[in-house]
Amino acid sequence: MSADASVVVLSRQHQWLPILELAAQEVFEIMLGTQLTLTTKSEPLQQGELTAIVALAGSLRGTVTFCCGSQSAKQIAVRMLGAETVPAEGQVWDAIGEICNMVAGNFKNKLTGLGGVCLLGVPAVVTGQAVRFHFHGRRRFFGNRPDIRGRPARHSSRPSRLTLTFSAVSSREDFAGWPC
Amino acid sequence: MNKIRALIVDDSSVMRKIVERCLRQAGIELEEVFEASNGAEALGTLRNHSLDLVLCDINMPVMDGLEFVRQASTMESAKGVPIIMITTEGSESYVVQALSAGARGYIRKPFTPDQVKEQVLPVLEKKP
Repeated sequence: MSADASVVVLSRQHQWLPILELAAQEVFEIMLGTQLTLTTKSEPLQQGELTAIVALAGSLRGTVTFCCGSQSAKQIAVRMLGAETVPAEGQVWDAIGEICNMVAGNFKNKLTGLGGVCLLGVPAVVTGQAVRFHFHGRRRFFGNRPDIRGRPARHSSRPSRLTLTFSAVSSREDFAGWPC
Repeated sequence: MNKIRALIVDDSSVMRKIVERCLRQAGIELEEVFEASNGAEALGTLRNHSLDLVLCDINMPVMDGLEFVRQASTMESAKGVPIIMITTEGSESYVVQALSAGARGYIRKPFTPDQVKEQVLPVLEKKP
């Protein structure tokens, strides 16, 4: 199969979502020792207080974002640093940035036939709610963003909501073979 | 195995702590652990200290891990110091670039302590 053909196969949103889910589940299991439980699609999207963003560039352009509340972010940092540590604010931001980075990388590594080099950006973390993203792309491939709304099991007595989103855009001719 | 002096290079301070913990879990005794948040800082540490092992991320600001490996391979003070990449960049082209630049191993994030052990111990055992 040529690289272009496999890209076309992967370009459908419903085929990307399980890959993103698997990428996120692996990161949570390996790095945090916890399992993500997917919530139903009908649940309303909840704005997180912290948003980590990793950009993808090259033959696949877009962003992977990871949103969660400050308590969830703190619990993630504690799991990464060890229970004996009280994470500083900067370490909490660092921890969710790194989780987002690993999910983005794991997701990218699972996509075959990208037809060229795909680069990951350095993670950025935004605090506050109502964050909006604007893309500078000539074409947008997905009207809807595939997203995962998960609850990390065993993180707290009251499960917390996490939202993971992948949005793909491109203005490059690399995607000439993709259905839009 | 003797106690070692290790340099951990990653722009994430949390990830540097995780890598250090993995080394300890692997049974490696650490005499001293140096940290750097990018390749340029790491080159400075490599110039000024005698090291037994470097574990290095790829995607970092200022100087990335691949450029660090390329420059380190030309430094007299870095001769014989094994560099192992620990990165989210898992594509074959990155592995090839890193290994041809002089890296001795490649660990993909997310990683388990066992994966770190599998890569690091043989490299340390071979070290003269």
